[in-house]
Amino acid sequence: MGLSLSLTPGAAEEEEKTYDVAIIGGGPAGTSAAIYTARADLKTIVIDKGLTAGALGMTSKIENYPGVPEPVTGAELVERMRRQAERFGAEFVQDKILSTELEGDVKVLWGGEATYKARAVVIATGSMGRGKRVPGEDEFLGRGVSYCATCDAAFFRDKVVAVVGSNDEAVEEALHLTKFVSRLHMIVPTSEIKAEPALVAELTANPKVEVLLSTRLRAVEGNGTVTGVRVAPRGGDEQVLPVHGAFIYLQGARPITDFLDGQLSLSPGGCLPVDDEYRTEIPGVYAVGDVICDHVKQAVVAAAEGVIAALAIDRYLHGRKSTRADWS
Amino acid sequence: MAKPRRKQPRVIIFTTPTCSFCKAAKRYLRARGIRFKDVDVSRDPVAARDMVRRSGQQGVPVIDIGGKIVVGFDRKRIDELLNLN
Repeated sequence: MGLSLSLTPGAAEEEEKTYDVAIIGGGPAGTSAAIYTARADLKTIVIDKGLTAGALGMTSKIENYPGVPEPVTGAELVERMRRQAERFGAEFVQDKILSTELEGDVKVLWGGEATYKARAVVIATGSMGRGKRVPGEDEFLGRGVSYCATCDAAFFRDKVVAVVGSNDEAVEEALHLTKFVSRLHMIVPTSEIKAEPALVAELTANPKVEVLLSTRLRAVEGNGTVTGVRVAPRGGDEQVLPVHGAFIYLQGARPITDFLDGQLSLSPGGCLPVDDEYRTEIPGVYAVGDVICDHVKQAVVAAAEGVIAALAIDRYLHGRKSTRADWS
Repeated sequence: MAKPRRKQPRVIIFTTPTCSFCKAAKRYLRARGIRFKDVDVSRDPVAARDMVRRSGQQGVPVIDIGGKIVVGFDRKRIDELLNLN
């Protein structure tokens, strides 16, 4: 049966907690803000897509972060910051915020796994969003082009698909698709797949999967629905691979703000304008790190911005005019 | 707390169990006191074909609100069609 039960409103709704501060993004900016807000006894939650999802998390070696003389991976540095924030009581959850309601005293964040409510919100989502689309991508969105295999794999049962990308998400989504499709072309723009080795091993061992390294997606072709992807291998000729679906997980350098649903105005480059205390134009909503305009893209700068925002939030939530210095 | 029942158009949401946009959309409808039918297209190929025919979409969530189609977790459009706010 396709139609399942008719749900009673509110019946399955879990009780939602309201936090003092909800931070979207668990990189250096968001996590540093969490260290300070949690330490100031503000009930803090950090909502993050994954440890290696951001610019610092995927960096292989960091040598210039003050106080950390030994070379560490970006993921390790982020992990240490998280442990520090957790020690002060900050909660971390793995989730992706899909939509937001930012006006009013209590802000509502709609995540894939839960709904979060908070009196103040920090946007620290970084700038690894994708900018330009390839020809055909918008035209065939929902007609073979998808950004969510875990949503849409069922429509491609026993069909041939392409997955484009080179990160954990792309590989995880490809692995999900292998349970449904007859054949999968993994189009990887880099010379190796930049993802967790165990995931890569699982993918490459799958007989349905063909990996094309150093290959760029040029266009999505179709006629009503997707019929193929045009790809360009480095140093080789462009070719069209016949597929029914194209699942695209490419990253770029554009600030990630889609979940704001147009509630905050953006600069022409897509970044979030803020004042000197990292306040956006909506009271109680702050933005820090790579997502803001005029920002130096360094982890230590992002961390410092997180701290300034945290102090401003403490003041905002307690209705104080001046910042309470934390000298201890 | 559930809101009091009121007259609303028939709402059908086409979903898959692992789709986060679907989960968020269902949570949103519940929070707004909207009754709906949930169709899991991953378990029902006939329903999946019906959804593609009705919406032209090969992706979920698709929400049918009184015969009008909403593609994705589009809060603005959902609010509009259900006279929420």
